[in-house]
Amino acid sequence: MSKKLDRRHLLETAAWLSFWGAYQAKASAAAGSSVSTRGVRPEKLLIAVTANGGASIVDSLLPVLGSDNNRSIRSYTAAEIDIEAGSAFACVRPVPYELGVPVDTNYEMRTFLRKHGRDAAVITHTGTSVNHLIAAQRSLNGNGINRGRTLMEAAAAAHGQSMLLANINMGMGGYGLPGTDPELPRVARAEAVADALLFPLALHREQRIEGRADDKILSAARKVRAELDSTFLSKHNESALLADFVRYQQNIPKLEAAELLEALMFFDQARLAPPLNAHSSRGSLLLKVRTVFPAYATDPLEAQAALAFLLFRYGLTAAVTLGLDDLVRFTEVGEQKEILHLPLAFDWSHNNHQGAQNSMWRRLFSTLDRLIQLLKEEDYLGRPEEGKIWDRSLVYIATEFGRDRETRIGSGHHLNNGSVLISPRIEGNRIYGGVDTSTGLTYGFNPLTGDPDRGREMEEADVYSLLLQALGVNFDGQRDFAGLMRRV
Amino acid sequence: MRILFFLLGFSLSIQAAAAELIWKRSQILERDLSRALELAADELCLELGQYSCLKDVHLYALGDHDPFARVQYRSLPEPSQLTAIAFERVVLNACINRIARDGEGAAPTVFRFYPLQQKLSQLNRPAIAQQIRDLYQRFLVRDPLPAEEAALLGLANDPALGDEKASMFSQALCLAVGSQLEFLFF
Repeated sequence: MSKKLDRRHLLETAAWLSFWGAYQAKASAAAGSSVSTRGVRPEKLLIAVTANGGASIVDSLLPVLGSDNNRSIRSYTAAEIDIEAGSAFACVRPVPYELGVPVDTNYEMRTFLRKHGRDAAVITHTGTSVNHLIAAQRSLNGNGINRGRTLMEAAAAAHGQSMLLANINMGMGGYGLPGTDPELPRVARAEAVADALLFPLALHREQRIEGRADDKILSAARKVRAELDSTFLSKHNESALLADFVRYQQNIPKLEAAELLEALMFFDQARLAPPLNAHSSRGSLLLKVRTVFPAYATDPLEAQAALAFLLFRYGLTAAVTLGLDDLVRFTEVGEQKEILHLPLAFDWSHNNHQGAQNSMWRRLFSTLDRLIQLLKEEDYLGRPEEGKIWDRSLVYIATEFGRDRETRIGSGHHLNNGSVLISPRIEGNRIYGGVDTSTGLTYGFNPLTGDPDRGREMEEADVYSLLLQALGVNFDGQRDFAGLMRRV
Repeated sequence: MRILFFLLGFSLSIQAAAAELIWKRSQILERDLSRALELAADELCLELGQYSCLKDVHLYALGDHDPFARVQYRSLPEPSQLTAIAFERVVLNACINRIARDGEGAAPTVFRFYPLQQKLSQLNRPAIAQQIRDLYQRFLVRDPLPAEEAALLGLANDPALGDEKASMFSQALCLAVGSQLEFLFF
């Protein structure tokens, strides 16, 4: 609370930022379609996908086959499980489920495995809380192993130093909360996004405002306002809140020079927006995300995935959090309605375990399939020399906890579970750990070899360490998972 | 003695807290802006003509939280890098909406000291000064200092304004007064 603001410092900072803004604008123009400088860049990208409500790994890529040995637990019959040749995984087939109207069954998990199984891995673990809010936080902060930094904050601090929006968080509940490290660099603080579709409007002070005065008039007004603000600033020069606000205010010209609103505004508002030019780099990318995520206007998950892709493509962001919320959503199929998203997402399992787990897993995999495909197709920053965006990406499907294995219709929360990772940076097509088919509970693995270890349970801190290792981020107290890193 | 030390510490902590300002999050900003410009909450700012700036699009940037749809129970502790942009968009939108209404009606409510259809060169300084004082009372609940009034009167002579319509000048005036730090922090 003792950060002081004096006018000289403010003016010096403003002058520097103004120079930097102009420089960045020139660099952006020279690059044509990106805001970063040239060269083969070392950044790694994290996509934290929040499987809100408790996504159970034994209901997706680690299903348990029913037998005489495990009649007391929920399991699947052979007919309910898909096994692909050459794949380390089995997966659950679509489970027909109705809740007044049918729940969408279009996508199959095996489609995801066929396309991305080579880069996918399951890691087993056991959490420390069955409270939604706390468990969600711990799934992202490794139960505090890195001074309370979330994975996204740590990734943004390491890889987002030169990025304009290094950490974008569209998660809800505990997934949307900031970490607790007071030393976290400002650039790595998450920008919380309430609505992915309209978020780009927050990237310019006046674009897309109808009836606004000419830019020059608004600039003149801002100049006078800066003069008027000076008295208030000097009177409250010890306010940390004000210091933060003013620092960000001075950064606005840099943000606006990058013309992010136009680059990221994929929402089709023909009434206001100029028509997209399919032959321009930016226009063709916007058209592409609209095609790949056709429900972007009504499905927040598709809108979030579309925004995530664009943020990565332009080198604006090192960590994006996206995922499921709690609200029920419908979709029109012909003249009928289907449920696209169940109320409470995976936590609908309290009412119907297999119906909820199956439909929500398939919903996540369907969206991730398309997002990963885009990342595989597009060059980072639009530059072939940087390689595909996917080459530097890591997807982590985070969830609060697993579900109990015994109850028949609805299930409760359970600490024991596992997570899905997808990345070319880890040794994929592997299950790290395993599942005891008599109890349905998962067991751990040796972090240095990746071999299963029935006497071990992996912790939240293990998952956190492993993910940051895969992203090339080190921290004090990090555990070594060398056995899981892909050898190029 | 212990009690004395306790009271001393307590008093120092109150002083430290007093040095910090309070940031008006979205809900309070909406109320104050609504009062200042005499517009209903849903008339202040709609992005793309239909999405609420204060309740939806810029909710987080304006520091607020959404316990229902997003399961967020606490407001953001500090401004984010998009707070300043969101704040300015909201104020600018609200100013435009107020000016449009005052320009249409026979009895303008806020911008009432000069005709909004006139050219800037046709306005007289006392009328502009009255408008400035009124805006200060509305947004900041005080009269402008002489230097502040002079700075805003100077805006009318800024070459960027040329001989624009009074409505455009009013937009600049409204933005300059309404998006001051003093309106967002107290």
